[in-house]
Amino acid sequence: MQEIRINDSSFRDPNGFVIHSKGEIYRILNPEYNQTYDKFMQSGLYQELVDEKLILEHELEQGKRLGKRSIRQVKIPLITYPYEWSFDMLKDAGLATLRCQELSYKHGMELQDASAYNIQFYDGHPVMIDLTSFVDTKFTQWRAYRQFCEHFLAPLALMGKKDLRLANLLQTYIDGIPLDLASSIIPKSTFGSFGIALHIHTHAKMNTKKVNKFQYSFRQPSERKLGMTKNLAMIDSLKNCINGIKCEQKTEWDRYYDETNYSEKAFNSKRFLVKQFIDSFDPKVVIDLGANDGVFTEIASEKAFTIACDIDPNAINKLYKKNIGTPVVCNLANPSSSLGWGNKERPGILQRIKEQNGHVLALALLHHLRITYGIPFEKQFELLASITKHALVEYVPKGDSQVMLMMAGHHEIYADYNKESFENAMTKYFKISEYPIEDSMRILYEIHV
Amino acid sequence: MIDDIANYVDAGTGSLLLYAIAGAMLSVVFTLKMYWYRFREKIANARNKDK
Repeated sequence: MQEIRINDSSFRDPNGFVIHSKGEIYRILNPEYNQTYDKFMQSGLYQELVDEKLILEHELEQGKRLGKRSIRQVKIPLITYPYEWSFDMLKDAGLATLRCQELSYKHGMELQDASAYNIQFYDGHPVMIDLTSFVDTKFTQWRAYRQFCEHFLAPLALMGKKDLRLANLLQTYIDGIPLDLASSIIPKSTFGSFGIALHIHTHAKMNTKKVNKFQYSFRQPSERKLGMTKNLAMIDSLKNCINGIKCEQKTEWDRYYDETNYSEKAFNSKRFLVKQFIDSFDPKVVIDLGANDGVFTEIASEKAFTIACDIDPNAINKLYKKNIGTPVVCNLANPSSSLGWGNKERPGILQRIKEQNGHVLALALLHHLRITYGIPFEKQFELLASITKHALVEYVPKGDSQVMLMMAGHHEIYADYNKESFENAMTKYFKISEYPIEDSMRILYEIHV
Repeated sequence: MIDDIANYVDAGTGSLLLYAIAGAMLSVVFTLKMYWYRFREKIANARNKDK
């Protein structure tokens, strides 16, 4: 194994880059940034950001790495990306970015960029991880204004004002959703919201080729010294705009567990079996696939670091609000793939999950993958075997009222949907142990490679 | 400071102009808002002292 590896997404920032070494994360500071870093630390900005939990404490190393100063940063257990966040996660990430900018101004500094990828979730709250983003300010226009609008405001407006599913555009436009596109999709009624009218609609119009050409014909674009008040006024306006966008759309999975056909006895039996699985293996990491309301993630959280994946952004939003596990919006039938430069910049979710070496819970999930998405059981267990060595999975038989509803009378299509096929598919990749759920037709299987 | 920083993020010509114009306009409202907050804080402090 290589001792030092440069992070695949760390090549844009002229101030430094991130390396991985012996399981630790280090940020290497380019010599030109040394003076700025000292100001960042000594001005009081660093301490204020730490106090407000906007950044995590770090340690400046005594010696040099690769001939440069380096800082050891706290390792974020699971890196997640904006297209895997729920509405409130993106909103809080945006507000955290603005707060960093606000505090920076008070100490004569600013953020050189406002990328949503600079934010990660740690212990249930957003933190700025890109420390070399903090630079000296001349109190001119914030150069990252457009980037902020594209990375945060546009997707939030699309999700809140049009459709939650438009968050998927963040996977296509990983450097932010173009404002003209956002402006053309969100309803015209949003012109009535001052913030959206200014920061999205007018902003989009100001960046058309025609307008830019017109501006160039008068004079070259310049940075003007605006002073602190004008800059803070803009930050305040962006904050108000973000706070004003709400998302109250329902999804098909809302209240899933309220509507399931479990008796109390069956549900308690399932809880017991999950707890038994967690207690007997004492895993460091548990990945709950199809976490929904997080009732089983919560059980696992008592013993392990948990990752809660679900296709439903509202379910993930609720988990985030309740601070249960590390929530990730993930459609297992089409998980986020490796994106960005060389397809290496933002690794796919399955790769990141695999690196966790965790135990997997796949409860009340596989029948959805089989019936709704048409994925054969064998393919499902092939995928599970590629990301974990230990899992607890649930088999929901054909006689279950939910399965009957999902099959909608087309039972003949699902001829392979039976216990035997399920077990045969499992045993191709795993050793299995069967645990029937009391007072239910459903069965849990403990599976190990 | 690194000169490259100026080119690190494409600020957008129109964005810079909009920022300057909107910043100037919004600063009036923002300043009034700050004075209002300070005024309210003073009143609240005075009330607390009376108690």
